[in-house]
Amino acid sequence: MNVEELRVHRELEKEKVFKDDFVHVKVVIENIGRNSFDFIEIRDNYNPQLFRLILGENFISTRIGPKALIKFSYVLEPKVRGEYAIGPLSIIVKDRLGFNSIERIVPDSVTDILIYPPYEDIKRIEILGSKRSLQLNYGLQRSKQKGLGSEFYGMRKYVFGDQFRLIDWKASARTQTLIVKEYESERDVTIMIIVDSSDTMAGGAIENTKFEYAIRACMLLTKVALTRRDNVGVFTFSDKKNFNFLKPNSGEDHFYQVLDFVARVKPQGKCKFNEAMDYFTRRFQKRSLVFIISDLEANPKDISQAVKKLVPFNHTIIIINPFSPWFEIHEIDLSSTDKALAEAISEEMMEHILIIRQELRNLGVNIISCGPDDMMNQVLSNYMEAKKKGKAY
Amino acid sequence: MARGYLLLLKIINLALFSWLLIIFLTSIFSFDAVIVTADNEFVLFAFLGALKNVISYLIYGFLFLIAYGCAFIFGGGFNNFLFNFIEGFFKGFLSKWFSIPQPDLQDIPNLIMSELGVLFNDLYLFIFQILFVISIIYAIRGFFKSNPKNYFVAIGSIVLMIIIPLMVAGLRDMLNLLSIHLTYLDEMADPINPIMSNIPIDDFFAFLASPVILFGITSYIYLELAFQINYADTVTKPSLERSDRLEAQLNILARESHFITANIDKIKEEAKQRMKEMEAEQKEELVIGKFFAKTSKRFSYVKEMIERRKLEEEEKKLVTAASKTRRLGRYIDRLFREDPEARDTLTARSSAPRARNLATSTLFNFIYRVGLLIVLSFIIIHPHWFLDTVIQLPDAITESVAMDNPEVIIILLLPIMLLFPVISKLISFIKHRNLIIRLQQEGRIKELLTSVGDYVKKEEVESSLDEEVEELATEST
Repeated sequence: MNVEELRVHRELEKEKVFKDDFVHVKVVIENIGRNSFDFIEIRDNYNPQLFRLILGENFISTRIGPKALIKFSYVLEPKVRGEYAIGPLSIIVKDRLGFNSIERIVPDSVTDILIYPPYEDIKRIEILGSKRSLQLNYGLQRSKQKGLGSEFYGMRKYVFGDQFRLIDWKASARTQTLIVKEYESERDVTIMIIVDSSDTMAGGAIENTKFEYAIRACMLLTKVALTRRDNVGVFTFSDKKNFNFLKPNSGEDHFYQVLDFVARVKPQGKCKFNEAMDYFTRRFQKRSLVFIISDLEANPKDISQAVKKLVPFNHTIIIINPFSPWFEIHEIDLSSTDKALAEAISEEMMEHILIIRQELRNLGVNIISCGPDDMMNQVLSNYMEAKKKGKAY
Repeated sequence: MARGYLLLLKIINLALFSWLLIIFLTSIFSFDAVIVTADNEFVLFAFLGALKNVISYLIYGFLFLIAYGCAFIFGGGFNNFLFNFIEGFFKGFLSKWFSIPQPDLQDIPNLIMSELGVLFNDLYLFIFQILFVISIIYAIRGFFKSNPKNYFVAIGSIVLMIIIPLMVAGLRDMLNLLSIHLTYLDEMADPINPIMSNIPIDDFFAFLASPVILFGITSYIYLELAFQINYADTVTKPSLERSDRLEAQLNILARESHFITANIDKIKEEAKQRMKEMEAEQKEELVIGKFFAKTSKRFSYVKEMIERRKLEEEEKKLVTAASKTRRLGRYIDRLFREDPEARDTLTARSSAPRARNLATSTLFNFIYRVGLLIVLSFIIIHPHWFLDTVIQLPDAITESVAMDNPEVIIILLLPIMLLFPVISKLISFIKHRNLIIRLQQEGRIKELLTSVGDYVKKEEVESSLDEEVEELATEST
């Protein structure tokens, strides 16, 4: 029984996959020797907390003849976003009567797989868009700048200093007052999504943490913004070691860059708002629409100081706050004591958020607290509103 | 195909067992001797009769003793009337009821002893019948469940039917040597044919044709085939079962997926209906909770959310399950279109061992082992030939008187018998040593990793300390 004569490897259908999508894993076993193996057992290991076996089996017990090839496969469903490994492959070779056995781990049999956040939200938006047949609503609208450009914006009374060429003589004759036409131009908008990746964001069930929702919101916003040809950049932060910056860009390819970028981020480290904003302002100064997605579980003063650092750059800041108790408290099957506790925690957290809101009110920054059910809607509606009002530049 | 091959092997093995029984019953064992007793009575009935007698004698004797005891205590020593009455009652009435041939109390122990002798002899014969039945039952079980234990019990029972009389005969001979004669032992039936002690060892073919050797070899072939069946079953069963299971799953998935696609609106409607029903139930339950909701008005959203969630979860579960099944169905359709071998790999149909390969392998192993067994048996039984012709020992040894003793068989029997355990021990020793070496290496690796880990940890601690110092400095300024 020379195990070295067995060649075993794994073939993944795709190495990058969306959460809740399926991946077909194929294991190929080849006996390159001239002797048969009477009994082999091959097992492809995976972490059941991260993947769910949907179809097939991840092991096989069989015999393999000389120079023979055997294949088996199974279908996995990733449960959690991130970069994970499948493997290693293990082989057990036994003799015919089962008296002797050798067990080996196949070297280099671990394959990395990148799990993107779920595509569900984006698909929903796409379906909604296609149903309404209003691609413009979800498509090519841009933020407009009044004054320049060639697109008609509206009419108003003449004010001293207006260019004569802008006077609409027909309308002036009709109204007996000087009326000027206004035009507007379209501008590319830059959206910066700043996501808090501190360990507090990882609270709750592993599949539905605040961070997971934040990533989903980030992905959705990116998709919608890119469809409208806006520039989108992402910055994730926690402590000094975990600042990740993806510079803004546009185009269909950039969506996959964002996906790759966010799929690799793990919630870890302490929340250092101040340092993060320092880093951000060093890396990026252009006026833009900034979405900060954070549970705001930090010192209120720190947070207000950090936000103040963004103000000089004339950013339009929207803070989306996944309200911790709504994410972390599992509502179903709570005892009355647990419910009372949950309410107490919610109250405390709400007071904390109110303090931060008070601190930021003078800066004109609004905090939008949301739960898992309305987070995506809030993010999208705020973005749409900002675009509508022309806040986004 | 593999299933057919397995069935064929099982039929062959059952036929082999039948042949084994024929050899056993016609040439080795006289089954008539264990069916009826010397008095031409069926062993089973004789056994039950003897058992009944023993119990009757015991009860009779016990009652007799109790009656005497009572008469002695209550009659005040010697009350002749009572004693005469008891004797008359027991001998004249109870002895007839219990069918006691000698109703005197002093004869009861002898009666019990003699009946126990009969019982023992009948039990001895009855055991053979039980063993025979066990053997047949397990052989049939082996046909349906290819567990080697069944085959072992089937053969073991038959072999035990040979061993038990041989042991009794051996014990009897040994006691005879010591001039001890036990009547019951001498009277015990000997169902073994005398041919057992006549094995032709001079002629190889006569050796093979002798019923005992034929029985031995056939038993081995039966067990060998049983192992082959077990092996074929172990190797093919998981693949075949997996294939069946997966095929069924895929069919169900395809059917369900189509059903859901066609009836998605209906499913959603059902889910909503269910939610409404639950909502109505919830309203009734909420009456008690109203006080709580009113008193904590400010944060009643938690409570509301809890209740709302409960209802939504139910609806969501149904819709999600339906949507997932449909998605999986679509995915599998696409997978099968894009990868033609995906169906085979998922069901692992291609990985199931082929019947032809299995048959070749079984035949090769079978011939090899049976051949080896015959040769080894022949060598063990013919040490003279082996030592003289193959090893070519000097004549002084091969022609010695010791070589004519039956015990000379041990010279080759022992080393050959010990060869396999020694090899097995050697293998386990080498494996154990390799494991220790590997563990030591892993230990070293762990040490290395630990040292690196310390280094990393130290760095982390230093950096966090720096951070804290910086923070303190900023706070103080």
